[in-house]
Amino acid sequence: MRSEEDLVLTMRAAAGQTRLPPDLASGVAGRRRARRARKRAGAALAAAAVVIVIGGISVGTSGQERTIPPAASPAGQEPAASPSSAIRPATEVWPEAVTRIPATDRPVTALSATEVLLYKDERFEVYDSATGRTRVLGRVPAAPSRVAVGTQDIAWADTKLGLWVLPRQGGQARRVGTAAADVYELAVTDGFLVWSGERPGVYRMPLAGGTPELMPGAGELRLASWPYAHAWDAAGNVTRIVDLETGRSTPVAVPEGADRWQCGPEWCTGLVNERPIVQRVDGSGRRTLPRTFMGYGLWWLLDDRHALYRVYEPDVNKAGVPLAIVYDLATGEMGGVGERTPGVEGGDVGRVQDFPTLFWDAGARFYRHCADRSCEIRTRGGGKEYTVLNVAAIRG
Amino acid sequence: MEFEDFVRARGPALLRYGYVLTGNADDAADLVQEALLKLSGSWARVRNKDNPEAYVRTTMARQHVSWWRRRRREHLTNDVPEGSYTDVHTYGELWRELATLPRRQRVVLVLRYYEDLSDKEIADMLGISRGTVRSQAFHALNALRVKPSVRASLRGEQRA
Repeated sequence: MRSEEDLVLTMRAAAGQTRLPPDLASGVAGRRRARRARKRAGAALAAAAVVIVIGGISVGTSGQERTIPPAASPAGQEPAASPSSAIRPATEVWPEAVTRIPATDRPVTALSATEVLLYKDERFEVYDSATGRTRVLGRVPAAPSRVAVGTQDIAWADTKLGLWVLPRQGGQARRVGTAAADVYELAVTDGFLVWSGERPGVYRMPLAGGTPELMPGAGELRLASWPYAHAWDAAGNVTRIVDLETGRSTPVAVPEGADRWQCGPEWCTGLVNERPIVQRVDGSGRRTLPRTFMGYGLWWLLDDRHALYRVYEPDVNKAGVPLAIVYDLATGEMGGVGERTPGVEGGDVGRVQDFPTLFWDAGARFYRHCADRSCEIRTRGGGKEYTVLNVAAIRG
Repeated sequence: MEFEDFVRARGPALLRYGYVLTGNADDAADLVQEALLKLSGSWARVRNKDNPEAYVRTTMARQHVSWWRRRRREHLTNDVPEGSYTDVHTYGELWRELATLPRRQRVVLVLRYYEDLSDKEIADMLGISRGTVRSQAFHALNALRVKPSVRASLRGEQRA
C-alpha cells in the first residue's frame, strides 16, 4: 500500500524533472496572435456553447478589471469625460434596432428589424418579435462551429470541417464540401462559400461543391467581413484592407505603439498607451476616447462603423451605469448596453461570433462570487427575456 | 514589476506546477502560456491589487479541468520522472498511474499534495463543493491504492 507521502514525493520529483522551454514570454506573444484569430472566430456554436460572452475573462478578473484607473493620456487630446451614468441606454437612442425575445431562446444574430436567427434543438429557427412566433428554417444535421448569413443562404462549418448551406427562406440543409482546416471566418456570397482559418489565407468553394481554392492574392490575408480581408502584422494589428471583389488594397495607418488595432472599411480603433483611440483608415480624424471608454476583449468592432467599449466607472455603487457602450465611430453617438448592479464591478453582454448583434437579460442582477483565490461575476434573477440590439439596424 | 519580469522570475515554477498538473512538458508549456496570456491582458490591474501568481495557478487548475480537456487528446505519458530518492521504481509507477486518472481527480490530488491546499481552498478554487473535493480525492486515492493517512482525514478540519 502506498502512502500520501509517496504522492507528495512523486509529484515533487516529477516537477524537478520538467524541461524548461526556451522562452515563455515569446510563446505568450505568439499565442496572443493566434488567440486573436480565434477570438475573431468566436465561440463554437455547437452544443451549449452558443453564447460567447464578449470580453469576459473566464477566471477571476471580471470584477477586478474594472476597479483600476485607466492609463493616463497625453494632455490636450482628451475630450471632456462624459459621466458613465449620463450615457443614455441604447434602447432609447436606437429603438429601431431593439428586439426582445424569450429568454428560453439564444439568439445567433438578428436578421432584420424584427427577426432573430436562433439555433435550437439542432435546427435553425427564426423568431419574429412582430408576431411573437418562431418558424423553423430547417434541421442542422451537423452542429455548427461557425455560422454565416448571406442574402440567400445561411451557411456553417461543422466541427468536423464540413461546410453546409441552408436556404434563408427555409428548406433542406445541403453539404457543400469540406474545409482543409478549422474555419475561423466564414461568409456566404451568391455563388461561393468563403473562409479563412487560424493561419493566413482566404479560401473559397462554389456553392455547387468542389475543392477549396485559395483566392488569388489572398495567401497572406484573413477574411474579415465579406468582401473585405485583412493583413495583420506580427502583433495582430490590421495593416492592410483588401476588397476581394475588386482587388483594391488599402494600407492602414497604424499609429506608433498601437495594440489590438482593428478596422472596418472606413474606420479603425485600437489602444495607444492603453487608451482606446479612433481614426480613419488613412490616419485622419484621430481622437482619443473619453476616460469612460475601455477596450472590450481583443476585438471590439461590431460592424463597419460601430464598436463596443467597456465602461470605466470606479464608483462601484453608482446606479445607472451601463455594462458597455456601443459607439458610432463616425458620429460619436453612443448608447449604453445593459446595466451594472450597484456594488458589483462587472457583468457581461452576449454576442455570438462577430455578428453585430448584442443581447442581455435586463431583468438579471449580478453578484460577485469570491473564493479566497479568485472572484467571478455571476447572475441571478431575470430569465424572462433577452433584449437584443441589432447594431446593423441602427439608422443614421 | 513588469509582466516580462514576472514571467522570467516565476515561469520555471509555473512550468513545474503545469507539469505536475498535466503530466507532460508540452501540455505544461501550453497551459502556462495560456494562463499567462490571460494574465497579460489584465496585468496592469492584477499586478498591484492581486497576487498574480495565485491568479495564474488558479487559472491553470481550472483550465486544465474545463475547456482544456476538449482540445487535448487524452494521453498516457511515458515520461517517467526519476528523482534522486531511493525507490525510483515505485514513484515512476505512481506517476504513470496518475496519468490514468480523470482530469478533475488528478487536479484535486495535485492541489492537495503538490500545492498543499486544504479541501476548502481546493473547493473554492475549482468552484465545486468540499464534499466533491473529498469524494474526488477518495476515488483517486483508491484508484492509486494510496492509503489515506490520519493526516489526510484531519486536514480539512485543521485548516478549514
